[in-house]
Amino acid sequence: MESVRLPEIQSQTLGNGMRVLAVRDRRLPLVTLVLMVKKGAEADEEGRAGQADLALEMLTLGTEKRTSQQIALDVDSLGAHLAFYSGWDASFVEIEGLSEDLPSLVEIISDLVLHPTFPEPEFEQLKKRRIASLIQDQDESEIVADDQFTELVFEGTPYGHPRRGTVDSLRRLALDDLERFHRRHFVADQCVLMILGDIDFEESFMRTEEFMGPMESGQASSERKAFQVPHRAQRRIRIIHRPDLTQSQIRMGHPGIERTSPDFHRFQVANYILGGGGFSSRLMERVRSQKGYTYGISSSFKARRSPGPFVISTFTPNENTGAVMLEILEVVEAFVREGARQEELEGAKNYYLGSYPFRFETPAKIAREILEVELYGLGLQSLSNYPLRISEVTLADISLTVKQRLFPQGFSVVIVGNGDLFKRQVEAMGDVEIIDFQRLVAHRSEG
Amino acid sequence: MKRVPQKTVTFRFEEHTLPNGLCVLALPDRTVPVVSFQIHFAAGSRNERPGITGISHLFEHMMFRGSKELGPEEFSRIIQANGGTTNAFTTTDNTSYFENLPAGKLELAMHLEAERLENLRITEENLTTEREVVRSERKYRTVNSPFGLVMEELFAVAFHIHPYRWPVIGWDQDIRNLTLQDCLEYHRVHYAPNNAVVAMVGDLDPDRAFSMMEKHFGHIPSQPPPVPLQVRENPQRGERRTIYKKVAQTPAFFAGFHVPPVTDPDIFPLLVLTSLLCHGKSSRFYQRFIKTGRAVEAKVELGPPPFLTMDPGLLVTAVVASPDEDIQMLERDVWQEIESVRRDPVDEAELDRSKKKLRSSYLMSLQTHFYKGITAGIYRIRAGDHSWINRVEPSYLSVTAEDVMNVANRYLHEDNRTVVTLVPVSPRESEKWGEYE
Repeated sequence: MESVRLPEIQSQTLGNGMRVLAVRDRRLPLVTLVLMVKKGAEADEEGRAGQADLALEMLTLGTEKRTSQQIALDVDSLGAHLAFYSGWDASFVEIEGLSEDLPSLVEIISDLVLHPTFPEPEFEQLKKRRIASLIQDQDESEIVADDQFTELVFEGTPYGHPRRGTVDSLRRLALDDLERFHRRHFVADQCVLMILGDIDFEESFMRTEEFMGPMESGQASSERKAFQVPHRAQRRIRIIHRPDLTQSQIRMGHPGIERTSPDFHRFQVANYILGGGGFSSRLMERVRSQKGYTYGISSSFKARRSPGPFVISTFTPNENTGAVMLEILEVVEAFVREGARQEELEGAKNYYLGSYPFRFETPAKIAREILEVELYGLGLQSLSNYPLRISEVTLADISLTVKQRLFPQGFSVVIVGNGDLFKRQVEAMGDVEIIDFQRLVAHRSEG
Repeated sequence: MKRVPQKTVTFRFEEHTLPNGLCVLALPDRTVPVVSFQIHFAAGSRNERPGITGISHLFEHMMFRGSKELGPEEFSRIIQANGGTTNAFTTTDNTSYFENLPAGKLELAMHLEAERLENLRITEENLTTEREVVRSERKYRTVNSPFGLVMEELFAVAFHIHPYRWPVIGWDQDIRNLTLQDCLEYHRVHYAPNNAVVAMVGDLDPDRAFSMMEKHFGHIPSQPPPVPLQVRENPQRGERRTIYKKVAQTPAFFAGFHVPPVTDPDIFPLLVLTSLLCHGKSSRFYQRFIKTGRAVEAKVELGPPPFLTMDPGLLVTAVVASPDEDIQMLERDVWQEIESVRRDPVDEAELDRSKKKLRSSYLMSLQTHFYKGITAGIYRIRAGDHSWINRVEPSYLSVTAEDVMNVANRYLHEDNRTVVTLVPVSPRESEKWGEYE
């Protein structure tokens, strides 16, 4: 097993309770700063889908001393990349630039998160461009399939809405909703700041204290209760009928596991064998290599604070749709019934053990690993323990995990394509609901 | 603000050519115990001809279908079971294969790449399966994607003679008609050591790596070099304009301007021009079209380094309107922005900003071993010299406001422009034209 040489990490807690982690990597004259707030789209209030994600962009559209245009000019003058994003469990403001500009980069990020002014005209423009973008997304059958799958599996739960909102929810959102998200969650003890790259530790901590020190401590905002979505007893199939498509997008799956689950590593190895391992996976072997039905097929899972989705994704010419679904079901059912073979287990473990150093190849990748550990309270030692956790997984673990975690008979299925050509083929596999694409689009654009 | 001296970065690849003509580049970097191993062939869609379009890309698939030692897809399975990842990509000018893997497995990658280069199993059965996979890929990437067909139309109209007029993935009917004989011939001509460049970056010792390369590739014979492509597109003499109707929520237009090849000194001012128009939120297109909600997308693309074409290529402007926007008004305003760069010198602050954005983006792209290897390897193929990897930063820095204005006038004028307008239709209307493949 290759040893993982983690770069040097130092941490400090500021007077206001903010945790700061610094990682030194001197290969290129670059620096990355990431501020993570431990609340994301999961915290969007009822009927306010997109609240967190829009709040993040609003921070970049005006502060007490900068207009939106000045922010853009200052960032671009440094040749920096500014990114802002709400995931499900956390939100991020990230700036990456040249290390010669570290003081300016820290100052900008602190100005954005400490002193936003939420100007009304900027908010109106923001909504306008986000709505236009959501409408244009309807032409991407992959996005339509993903969003419909999310809705079908998680409807009525905190994960049951699109992270970026809907045309309807964005029309309803008020500026006050975004301000409230910022006020509640951007408090020091909910934030972690990472500084990575060609840095000097002492200078980094000094700059951080200077610029982030004034952030209010605040109270830890109330934790949302973890939730479970029960598995369906019956398979449910939703077809989005778009007759002009020559190929259908297929999604099949159900809720998976939470990040803190003791099954996490076992599930990761099992998923690799089923569909996460590219050409080493059973789904790719059967559906692409043997049958030539598709260019790509994979299974994946998102482990969040509560169980996120487990999903098998593929696409195929319309006329193959039913045949592909049957192949997928057969592969999954055989896996649940029989578990894995020794060489599959070894292959999967060797992949994760051998490729682990790549997850620390660049500052941005290092930040991702460390912030995930911070977000879910796994402890930094979990990074060094990872190879051990993977190497411990046994064939019996895989058997038990797939029996407990995979329910092909209860899959939710979304197909976006020309339903006329495959409706009959899939009817025998579950209850079918057909939505005409034109009706879907009209609904989304009227609001 | 205190001025800190700029650090510039130089990558010192060592280059060594085997007696059979295989060019090998190596760059040690021992910070993480991993390596990227890549083999780039000077074979892309520019080396095809009508009737066999898409063969370069289809061949990329065939390379994973087995050899004397390996069964179908076993190549990928072995690399992954050793902690690595592998893939490949085909472009207009090259086909590249890579393995990113633990440092101790470098020789495994060499062995497997050499074995499939020498002993690839090119059979009717493999061709039949991969033909269908590629047709599915074409439907996925082009036919069912919002703008794939519009881009195909743009290149087909902008180029009359040069092979850049067809898509890298090929026309569906050519993919259907490719024969085993076509594949065998293509392999013989293009997959030869003297038509390839190997790049490796990571935890390695160059001298040792070169001798391992001798061991694994040294005995593979060179081939008579492919006949050089001698096709020159005639200068465009007047705007070309066409309409494409497809299912869409929003109208759009895609435009192309003919521009010079990778080694031309005008490339860097052109890149600065694209940067000031659309990189970052202070850019002209962002402020005028995106921020205001008039366009969902408004960009001008060329590159990035090293992905500039060997032969004269296209600078592409892609503008996707918001649903209620008048596409003609939007197009008029986009050309007005470009007109202003042709007419008025760019001020120093904007020029500096554009150059700095390009410089930092380039450095950010070079953070991985993989991309360092890609950059040196592709430059070696397309520009004939890997050291272009070190010329990019200084070339950006030396661009002046006058250079930007000159290239804007030389290339971004109406007579050199091809425009395709996407006119949205409903799925029912779309049906009347029949299925497009």
